Amino acid sequence: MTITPSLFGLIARSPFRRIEMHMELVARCALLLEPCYQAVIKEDWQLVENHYHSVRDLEEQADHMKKKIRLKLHKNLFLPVARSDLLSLLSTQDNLANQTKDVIGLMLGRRLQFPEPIQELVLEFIAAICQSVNQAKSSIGELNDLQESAFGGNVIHHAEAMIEQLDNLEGETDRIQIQIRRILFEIEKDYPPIDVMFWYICIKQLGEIADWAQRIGEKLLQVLSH
Amino acid sequence: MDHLFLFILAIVSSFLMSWAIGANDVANAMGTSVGSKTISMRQAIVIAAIFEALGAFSASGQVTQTLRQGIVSPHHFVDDPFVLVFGMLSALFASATWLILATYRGWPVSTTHTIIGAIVGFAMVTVGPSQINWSLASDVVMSWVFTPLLSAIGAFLLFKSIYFFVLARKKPDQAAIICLPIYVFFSVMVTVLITLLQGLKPLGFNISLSQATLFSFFIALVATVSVFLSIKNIVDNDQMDPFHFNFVERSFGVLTVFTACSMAFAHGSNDVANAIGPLAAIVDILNHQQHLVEAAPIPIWIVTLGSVGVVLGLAMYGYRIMDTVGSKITTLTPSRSFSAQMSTAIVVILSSGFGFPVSTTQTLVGALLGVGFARGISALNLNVVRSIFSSWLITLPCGALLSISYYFILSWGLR
Repeated sequence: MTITPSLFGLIARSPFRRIEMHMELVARCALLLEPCYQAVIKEDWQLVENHYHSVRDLEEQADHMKKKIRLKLHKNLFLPVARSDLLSLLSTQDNLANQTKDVIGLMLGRRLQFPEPIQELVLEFIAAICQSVNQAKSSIGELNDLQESAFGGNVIHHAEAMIEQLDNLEGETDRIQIQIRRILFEIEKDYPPIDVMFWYICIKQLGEIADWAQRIGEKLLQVLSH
Repeated sequence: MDHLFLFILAIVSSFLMSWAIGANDVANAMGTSVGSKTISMRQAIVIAAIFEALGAFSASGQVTQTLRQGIVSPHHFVDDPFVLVFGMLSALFASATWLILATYRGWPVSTTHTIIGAIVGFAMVTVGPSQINWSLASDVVMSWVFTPLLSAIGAFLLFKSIYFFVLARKKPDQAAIICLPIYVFFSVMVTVLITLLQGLKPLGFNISLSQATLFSFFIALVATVSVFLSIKNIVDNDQMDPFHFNFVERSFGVLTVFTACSMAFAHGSNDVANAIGPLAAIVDILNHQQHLVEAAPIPIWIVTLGSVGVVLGLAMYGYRIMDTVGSKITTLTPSRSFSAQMSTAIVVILSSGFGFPVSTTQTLVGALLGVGFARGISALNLNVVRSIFSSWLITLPCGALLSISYYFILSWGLR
């Protein structure tokens, strides 16, 4: 005879912890960008392919996790924040992983080598992108404290400051991107046009990773401002 | 008909009922404390045993009176008092049956609703609906609506005050050291005061307001000082977090020991009566058949029987449920658990003081929703809320039908 007390299941599992876990997974996926690009510079395509497989696996895991969280966030849950905001935060996080996979897939598929004059700058660019991904992760990490403080008080200001910092980091990636484009524009006539085209595409897509990181901050703010 | 046989039958069924209450119901009252991992299983059982019994002894009198002679007065049975004996016996059997069935099937039913349904049921077929004290019965039903509502409001305000005075401060850890003893002081004082003023009357004690105030002030002071000292002793081991919520929650953890005590006390003061109220009525009749004395004090041995039954039920079976709750239920942090349980305990003890048999579980559900409205709980499953609240609509007629059937079986078999 198994007994379930009546209160069993009333207090559902916190979705915030899971969203944090999802973000950790997404960040782990996106942060592979740095070692992956190192391998690209060394033209170690085998290593790039290994990284690509890890990224793909992590992205799949994140996708799977997203679906599971969505199923658990059913309409009859009584949450301290709007359910729709949480769901859109979740899919934004997931998009960050998708974007990373696309970029690395592009690098691997075309054996993409940036020209000498911008190689260093792209390294800097990727470092800045990874910084904003990390900042997005830390901001999401505040969800626990926010939940703990019942979404108010000083923790809100703390989180808002973190999101502002995230915006600044994304602005930094924009600045580097503009610089890369300017140099690329000057030297583009000296290289095969198809390659140049893909460099532009790759730079744009890399920049979008930081955009997604910034959007995570926006969505988090939306969750909080409820 | 042999009196002794009826007497033994009544004692056994009442004991079984209290055993079932201890086995099934206490887990709900204590589960949140065990779930928040601030007290261990062993501690929970010891606390429950002591305070269930204390609650039953000191504050269950009024509710017992409601069940014994409030809903249906023994005066209507003067012509044939054994009708009441059989009726109360069948009410006990009916509740025990329904409770066991529900426990087996995992339905969230309340013992209180079952026994009220059962008493009303047998009274309808014996002395007729006109003899039932409908104004009291409807008051009782209204109290089932109002207690969850009241405890929701109480828990909402309590948690909002915690938010305002502690959680939203610049330094929540320092605010906690100052505020928590104050919370303890007021909650202990209120609890003890209600008990002394309302609960002890039916047992034949009379305490004046000033005596009660003095005594509860003293107890509250002891509790406050001990809480203050234990919080002082907590070492903040997470210096990384700028807000020290870890420390704050561990301080609240000290308080959940108090609220667990209050919950067990509240449960003992209200739910033990479900088992001993009908027994008290039966014993009355068997003792002085001809002249029914109204408002006679409840014999101490009956209260003892009920308390022992609850504690045994808890020790023999209830711990298993608490174990499940403790290991599987999602954690509620101590500040939330404190708000919900304190509000529930005060509302239930108040109801006990006024003689309303209410459902501790439903009152707690109300309180959890209240904390949820104050944005305190990360997720509540409203499906469970719905099933808990709708269960009493089914429980009332089922309790009534069961007790009517038992009544006919008993009076056919034993006459």
